[in-house]
Amino acid sequence: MKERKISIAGIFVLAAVILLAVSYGSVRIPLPDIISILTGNSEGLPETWKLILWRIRIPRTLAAALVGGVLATGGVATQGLFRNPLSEPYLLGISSGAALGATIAIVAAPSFLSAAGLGVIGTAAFLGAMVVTFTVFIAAGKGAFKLPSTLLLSGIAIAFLCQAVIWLLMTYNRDQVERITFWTLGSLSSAGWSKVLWLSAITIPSTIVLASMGRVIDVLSTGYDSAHGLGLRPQRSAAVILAFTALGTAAAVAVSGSIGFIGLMVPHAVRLLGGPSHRKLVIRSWFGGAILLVLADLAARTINPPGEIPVGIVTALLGAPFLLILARGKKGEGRLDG
Amino acid sequence: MVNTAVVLKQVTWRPPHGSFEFGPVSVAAESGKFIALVGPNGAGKSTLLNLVSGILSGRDGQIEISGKSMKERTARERGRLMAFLSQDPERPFGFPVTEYIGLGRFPHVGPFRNLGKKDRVIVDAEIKAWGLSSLRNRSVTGLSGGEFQRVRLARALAQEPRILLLDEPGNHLDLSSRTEILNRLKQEAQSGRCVIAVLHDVNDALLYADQVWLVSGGRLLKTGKPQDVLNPVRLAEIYGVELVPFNSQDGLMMLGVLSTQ
Repeated sequence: MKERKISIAGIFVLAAVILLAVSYGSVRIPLPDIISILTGNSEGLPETWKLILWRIRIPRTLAAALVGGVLATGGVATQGLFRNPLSEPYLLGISSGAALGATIAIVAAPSFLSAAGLGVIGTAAFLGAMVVTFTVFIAAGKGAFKLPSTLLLSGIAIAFLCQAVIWLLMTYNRDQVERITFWTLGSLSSAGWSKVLWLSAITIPSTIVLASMGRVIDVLSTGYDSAHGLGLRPQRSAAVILAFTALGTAAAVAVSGSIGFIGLMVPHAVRLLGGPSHRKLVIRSWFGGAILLVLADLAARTINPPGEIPVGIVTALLGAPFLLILARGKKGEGRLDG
Repeated sequence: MVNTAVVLKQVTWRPPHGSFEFGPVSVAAESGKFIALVGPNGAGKSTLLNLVSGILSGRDGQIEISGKSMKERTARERGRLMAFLSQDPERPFGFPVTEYIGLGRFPHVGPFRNLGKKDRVIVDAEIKAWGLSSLRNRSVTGLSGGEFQRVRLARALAQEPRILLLDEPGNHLDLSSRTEILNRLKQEAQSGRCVIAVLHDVNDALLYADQVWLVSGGRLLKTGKPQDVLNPVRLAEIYGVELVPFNSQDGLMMLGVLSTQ
């Protein structure tokens, strides 16, 4: 019973938060009018409200939910697989690869690179994320999952490499420094319907796969030898899970830049609330991440209107104190000292 | 009814780096027997266990599990037949004891179904048998070494394996926990399972095992009854330690260290 209540609460809170986010902004649209516009009875209401809702706020808010959700589920998968509470999907090289791809696109603007609705920079970011993640796996070698530290180390090394190239490109393209920096900090301001579609097409299936493999993640989280003894082929299962994690995260990063802390923070919070069983953890973290990013994006665009703060700054500001509290509390139960 | 649980035929293995060489080893383990692997550090005891468990790849020779070649078995079949407790286990953070033991049912239930009534009964029985009732909802991360080792054994037995492989099950444990564990393993062997355990204390092997496989230099030196295999002269040669035999209360031979040579 309690289980079901948590899930239903997740749906309701997400719906409420989405309505809130759609209602607030540089122009305030009252809730009853939103419902009128959504149900098609928009007579007498300003035409601009309709445009703001349908063209800007609804797709942007949905994109925030999809990005936040998939980042959090990626965090669940990587923390479980690497048996390391500090891991997050970006450690696989996804965010650094995406940043490098985006930087190259900003600097060189190869306009031929544009996949369905993603735009040049988004497409380059997605490709960069996939190429670099693949490189990280190759660099880590065959025993990557047996010794997760190898994979994490190779992820970190290649992240530094990407960062060095980005700085080099920035040095020679001073006029683009601001664009590159803002892209890296993460923002949802460019999210329209085509990006929502693109996100749905990739992140929803990848989340469903991860949730359905929840029990496999449970078994993998007990360690390599143990997972093998329980009747798994650990390398193979881990490869499937990481591939879907990388794909979902890369899609999110391509749309929004590397928004930090969600993948690290949300799984811990959800684990404290509802236990560590990974199937539930994946689904609940999806809701947790979606709710958090919708709120963070709302804050990013309403704190100082009409200007916007990059949403990555908001999540980092929220995330750092949260992690400190988490590290200090609950230590007796060993939630963080895995 | 298959009586031989594990058969190794001319098994050899070499690590990718280094000069260690294992085998060739040919040996068979019967169901209903508690077999102790004894030998010095680096002799190949864990290698033997890892080969039987299937974790080590790249071996030559044949390994049969319950009458069928390992290569013909699926991973899940293997998980239903054989449980393996390695050394230095990892603890998944925040996992409660009951759920951790429940993972032992994974090879039976599969990745997509929840534990059924029967599975819960088995898990509960193991929790009771290991005296873990008061720890049910505690996180495995917060348990003491002895508690966690009992939780792991409970999980391995919840797997209902025909073959139980254990790498130093009593390592780091106090005398009472170790005795409890060895007694239970002996019982499990008597009820028909094949138990193969690396034991470092030769007296544990003398007191509990039905058979000893003496491993040294990557080979099986001798197999047979503990009292025959673990003779003080042979052990003195292998370990470089002088041992004197004495009798336990039940009249069993035990060994004491006299001096290092």
